[in-house]
Amino acid sequence: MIVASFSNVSKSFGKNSALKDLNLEVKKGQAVALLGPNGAGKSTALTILQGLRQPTTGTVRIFGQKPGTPDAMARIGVTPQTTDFPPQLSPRELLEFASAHFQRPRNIDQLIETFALNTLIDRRVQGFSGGERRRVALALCFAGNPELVILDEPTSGLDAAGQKDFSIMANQFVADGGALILTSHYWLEIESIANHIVMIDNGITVMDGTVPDIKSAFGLNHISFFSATPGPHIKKNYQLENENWELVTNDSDDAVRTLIKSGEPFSNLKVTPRDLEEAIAIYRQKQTANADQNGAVQ
Amino acid sequence: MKQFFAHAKLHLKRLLRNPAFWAPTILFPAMFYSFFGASMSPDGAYSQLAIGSFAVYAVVGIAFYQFGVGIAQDREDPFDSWMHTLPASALPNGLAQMFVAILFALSAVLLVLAASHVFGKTTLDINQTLRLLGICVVIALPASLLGIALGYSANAKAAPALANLIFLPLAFLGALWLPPIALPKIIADISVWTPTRQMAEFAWAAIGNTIPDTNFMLGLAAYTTGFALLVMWLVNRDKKKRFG
Repeated sequence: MIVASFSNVSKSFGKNSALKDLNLEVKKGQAVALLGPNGAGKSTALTILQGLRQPTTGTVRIFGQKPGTPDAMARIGVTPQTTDFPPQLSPRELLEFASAHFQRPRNIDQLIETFALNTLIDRRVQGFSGGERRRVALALCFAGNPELVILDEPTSGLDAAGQKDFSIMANQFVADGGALILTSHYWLEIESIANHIVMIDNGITVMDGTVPDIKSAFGLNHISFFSATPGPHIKKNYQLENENWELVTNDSDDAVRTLIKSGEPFSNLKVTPRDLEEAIAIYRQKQTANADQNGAVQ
Repeated sequence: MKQFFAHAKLHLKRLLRNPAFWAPTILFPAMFYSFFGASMSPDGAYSQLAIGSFAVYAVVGIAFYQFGVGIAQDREDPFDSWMHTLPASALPNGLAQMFVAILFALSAVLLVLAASHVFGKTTLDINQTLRLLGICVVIALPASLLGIALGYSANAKAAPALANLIFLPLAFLGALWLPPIALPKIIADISVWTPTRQMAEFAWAAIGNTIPDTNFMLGLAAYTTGFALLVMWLVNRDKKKRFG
């Protein structure tokens, strides 16, 4: 079941194009991460989904309806990138205010427990740290018992324990059939929450796939070893980097078997899985190299 | 209804817990009445009317600062953007803001009435008081529309200065501080054209149990319509800019 969709969505601010032909679907039980450098168009996409911006062209739907309509908004929860609350109010008052807008809101005591707000709940927001404000913002996002949550850098400012708690909570939400779309700069968070990744650069979708898809596109494992007297097999298949011979491959088992079979000497063998950040970094390097090459040709 | 109460509760708490914001608007009219209006001779016709003038001053002041400054600040507040992601139309929030402004305005007017009992040489009877309170609710509409127009025209930093720049001259020109007869000729000529003077005429008529001059009724109706159209245009412009 598709809960949110972007069909050929473009957004321009004057002459500046923030999004170009974005196509994206978020399904029930799916956690989609929007990745990209600053200014790539991620937050613009999310504000369009929240109904806070209108697309210049294309169609956006939430549960088949236009974003911003009360029926659509009744089924979503939002944590924006910037959160600031009236300093005179307490988290409990804010949660009560948000809950009043929904038919079947979550129990406030449950939210207090989930987002570790026990010691903060009746204090005024004035004087809260950035992390404490972020926990309030996340609790508000889930107050209406949403089916889709839209999170713009949700754990920005949270400590490691808070980030871990949020990952567990988000995974449970998705496992229970909720849908989630987020942007984040924390790779560990993306890997631990998202099961689908869309990378945007300069407003254009440049990658779209599952986390294993994207990792495997750039090699899942990294093999490294030392060899003082490499033979033809090593020289042919591995690259020398800082005194170590290295290879990136999707089938590290086969590569190691072949290396042993070649009988060529090696020591200090290491096989490490590539993380998403590394895969994306390689992608960007390739993109930059291609752009430079094209520039040189022209 | 549930949403209206939630918004009204939110606005009330935000304002009541911010005395620096509400104290001047609630206390100044009674204070100014005590300094200037209360000293009017009980024999003079303006003695009772001064209570009406300062009641209008209170209503317009609340509208300028609560709507004018409040909306300008809200428009730049991320919390306001987040509120737009809640499943509600703008109506409950708008009505709640209006309701809270009327509560504050009536409180300020009641303080003026209290000051007239303590410091004034004359007071209003119960019928005059009730008619004045009723008129204050009515004039809250054009006053609020003017405040809202200001809130959608200025940014958060400029709004307080702009509110003072418009409100204080309008109060003086509208004969809210001095009786029309005490105004210099040129000011008295301008006065009849100002919305504040027309509001004051309604308040004075309520106290005197008369009907305001037709010109003042038409004038205030025209201002109300004009302010309403201006607000519609400004709200649409803001919507396009912030949410377009």
